[in-house]
Amino acid sequence: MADVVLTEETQEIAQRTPKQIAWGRFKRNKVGVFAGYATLFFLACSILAPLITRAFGVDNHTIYSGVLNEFAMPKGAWGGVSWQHPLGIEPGVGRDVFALLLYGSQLSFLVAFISTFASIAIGMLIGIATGYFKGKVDASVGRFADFLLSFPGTFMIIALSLPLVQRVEATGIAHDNAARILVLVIFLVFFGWTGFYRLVRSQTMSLRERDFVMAAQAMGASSWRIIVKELLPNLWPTAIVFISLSLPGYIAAEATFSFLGVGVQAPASTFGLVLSDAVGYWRDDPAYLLIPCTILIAIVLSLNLLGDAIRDALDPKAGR
Amino acid sequence: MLKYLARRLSATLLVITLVSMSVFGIFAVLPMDPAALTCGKACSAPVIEANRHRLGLDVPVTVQYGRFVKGLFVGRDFGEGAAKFHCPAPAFGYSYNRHECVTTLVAEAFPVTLSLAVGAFVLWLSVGVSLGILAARKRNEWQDRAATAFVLVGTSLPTFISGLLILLFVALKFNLINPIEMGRWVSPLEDPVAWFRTFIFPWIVLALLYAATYTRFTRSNVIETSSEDYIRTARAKGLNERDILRKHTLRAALAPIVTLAGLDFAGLLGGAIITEGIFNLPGLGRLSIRAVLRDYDLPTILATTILAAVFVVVANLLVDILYAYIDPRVRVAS
Repeated sequence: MADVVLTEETQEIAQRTPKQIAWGRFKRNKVGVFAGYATLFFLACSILAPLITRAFGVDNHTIYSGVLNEFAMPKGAWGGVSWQHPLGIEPGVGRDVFALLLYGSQLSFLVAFISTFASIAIGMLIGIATGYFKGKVDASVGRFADFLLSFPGTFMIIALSLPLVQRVEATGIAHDNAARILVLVIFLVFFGWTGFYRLVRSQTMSLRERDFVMAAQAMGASSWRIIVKELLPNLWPTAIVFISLSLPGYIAAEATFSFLGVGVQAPASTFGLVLSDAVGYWRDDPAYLLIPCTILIAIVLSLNLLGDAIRDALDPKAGR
Repeated sequence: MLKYLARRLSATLLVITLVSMSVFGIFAVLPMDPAALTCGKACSAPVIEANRHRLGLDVPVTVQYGRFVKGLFVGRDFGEGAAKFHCPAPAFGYSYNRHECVTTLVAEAFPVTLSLAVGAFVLWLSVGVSLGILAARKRNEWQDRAATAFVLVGTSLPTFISGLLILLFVALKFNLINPIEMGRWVSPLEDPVAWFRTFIFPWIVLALLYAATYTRFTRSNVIETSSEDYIRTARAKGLNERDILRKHTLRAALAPIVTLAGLDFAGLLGGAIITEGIFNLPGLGRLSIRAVLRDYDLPTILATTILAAVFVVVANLLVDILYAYIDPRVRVAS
């Protein structure tokens, strides 16, 4: 048997907390760091939309005159891209695409963040409860989650959103786009919580058999204390990885539903709405379709890359 | 095994009943009134009431469900007197907007969706699995990196974007498809060339999404299985790499793909809403989406929703049986 040789690297690791180790791993992943910066950039643009549009001297509701030709197409190459209108002009109407997309991304991020965190919260709560206490409730929740899987989720969202939006508006909780966003988020969460619930449940079931949980039980700790102090800290990495990999999915889902006419409606704008409008102009003004496409893909791609990097940093064995 | 089959079969029937009941219930409690949508703006209350009776919506939802189930087995008459219309079993309902039995509409749309699903399935399974195996074998080499890039692109592109880009900037731009041909069902037995031309781009769009998932799944499964002791044993006793891969690694690594593939395929059979919509294919997805967006044609919506759910439930059963066949541990454990 060879003696255990502590290399410089292992010695370094020995003195660090798990958080520092993960952070160090993340920093070494160049693609991940780049994706992180890109994500921050897109998020900052979205949050600072009012400031940025003002700096460029544009906004998302002014109909600019003199930018469209006699066929209602943007003047100039690439869909009217110019210094005044960096991403071109909306054909037919004459609004600024840059401002439309900046404000649209606010809605996309809003829907994605609320849906992700609501799914995570519900999945975490139910997953821990059923995984820790087991029993009949666990069995019936599991059946229900399986049952939900058999429904055609995408189609149900489309078929039910119109009547449900009407019902929400009738109660007076929210109106117009607020009501549509609310209904969309509720649906996305309703069909989306099961994935994280399964993950948390199985992890909780294996954690509760571990020695440190048994030790806590032997010392007479309450279930509440065990869940909060012993289980939750061990579940955070899973939650962070799941959040970072869910966000791009929800961004894409929001775009898809608004493309299909479910969700936010004009005069508001999201990527999906702009793209569904752009389909009508693809031959005469392909830039109006390609520019939003490229930006949406860049956002989803950088979020995905960031998610992969976070997963690699927190759980180097998973998926690699 | 027989006992296992019987139990799974009865559980499946129960789930199908529950699914159809919940779909009925959900659409019944909604404030959408299909009767009010049957006539235009000049509608009066008596006309709406008459239409409600004609549609069979003037009775409690439990009675409606009973009639629906009965119609599935013995057929059903819709309307009264001269306007009476008979739909033979299995009758899913009668679409007053299209003046057709829903079963006829579904039967017309199903071959399209089936063609779409089968072709995409073959494409994504062959591409995804072989790319996954290649990536696992050439780990950390350029093939692996290329596969990772493919996975990233495939999972990051929403279907409607890849669909639009391929339809507009490849298929239509270079006149590779005939847009009018796309809207009609062409049987592969009548005109295989037209059939292939119609479906090749939708296949690619769907396969792009699924193949990426399968590549990632296969790759990680093959890598995980390769580090098992019995693989080392096989290598130690001098088996060549090809046999190890074929007889030992892949057998274990690909078994879970049966489950995944079965459920994904069944999910597609219910209609690929986005792909069918973008390519204007007259399949179940387009049928159901039009039923919602055009006139809220409730009988069609109910039928397609229930059918889509039934496909998934039945696929679940088949996959479980197949899995019990592949992996004896499942039989013992149950």
